[in-house]
Amino acid sequence: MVWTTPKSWLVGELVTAANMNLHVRDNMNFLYNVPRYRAYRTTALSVTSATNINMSCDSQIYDIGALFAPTSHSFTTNVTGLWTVMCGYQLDTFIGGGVQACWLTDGTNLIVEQMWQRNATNDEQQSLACHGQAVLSASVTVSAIAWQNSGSARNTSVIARIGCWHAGSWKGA
Amino acid sequence: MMAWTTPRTWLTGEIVTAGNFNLYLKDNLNYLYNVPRFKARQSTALTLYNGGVLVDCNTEVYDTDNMFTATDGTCDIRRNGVYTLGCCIREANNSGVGVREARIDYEDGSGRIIAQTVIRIGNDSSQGHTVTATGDAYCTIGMTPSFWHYQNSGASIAASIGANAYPAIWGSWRGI
Repeated sequence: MVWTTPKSWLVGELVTAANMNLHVRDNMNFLYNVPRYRAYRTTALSVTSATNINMSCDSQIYDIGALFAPTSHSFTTNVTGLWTVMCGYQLDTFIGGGVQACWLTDGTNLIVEQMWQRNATNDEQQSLACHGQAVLSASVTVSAIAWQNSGSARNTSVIARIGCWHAGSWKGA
Repeated sequence: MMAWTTPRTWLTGEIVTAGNFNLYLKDNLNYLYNVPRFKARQSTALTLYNGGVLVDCNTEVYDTDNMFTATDGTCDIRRNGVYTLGCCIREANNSGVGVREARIDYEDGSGRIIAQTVIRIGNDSSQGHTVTATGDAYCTIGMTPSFWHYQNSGASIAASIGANAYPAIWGSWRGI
């Protein structure tokens, strides 16, 4: 469904079914059923130390607007406007320091980032996520990237669709 | 910014008018399509003081409802409703031990917090750290949610400047 700029009605104008369907019904449906998707990964992703790693996902929970095509670490906007975007991953247990990070970028500008330090001595899982908003044009590709610098490659967990995931939704013009 | 008008109850036999269609259909559809929103960022150096600091931003990225006035670390709520509010702050590389916090307060005198992320930084090599917090909250006209960073490393830390990403604060209206 696409948004059509609502028409200005004129005095004396005949109200037609076509105009009511296009300018009222379809626009209401657009606002009710906004473009959105959520993708996740069903297998472990190896996050190489000190390297930008694409958070490639092979499955989706929902996708309204054909925003996501597996397997991919990105989605493509289908309409201009304010988008909420988010991503996250969990690294499986290991003992190692450094930081782990994830971020979202539109290819030109970084949108949002999260970067935490790991506990260098505990053998624990650690997950993180980031959540941001940006006004984007249609056909912009937004990518989710993971990064860590523990010194060795680390695998993401395969757990409840949050081991490695990204999502987005249109919020308004 | 257009105003929302409570949709009228149409009456049997009523003659629909252009005025009513424009007010109750066109304008309300445009309101829901073009929601109030803002995003602001700091484009030059920002010091993250030991003990906390308001995340002052000096550059507007977008603002459809006059919610932000530079330079400030708060926003102005112009209409009632649920808002999604967020902030993101990155530190320059440092090895300071302690916590790092991103927080959004209602700033209505209640002391309530809308969203908060706190991480613990231990002994390690010099690293950057980024904290972001996002939350939904019902806000009323006149409220001024504020965006804060806190750290207790014992010394000031410089914020990294990352285009529109950090330091940055944002918010958008979600519905009444």
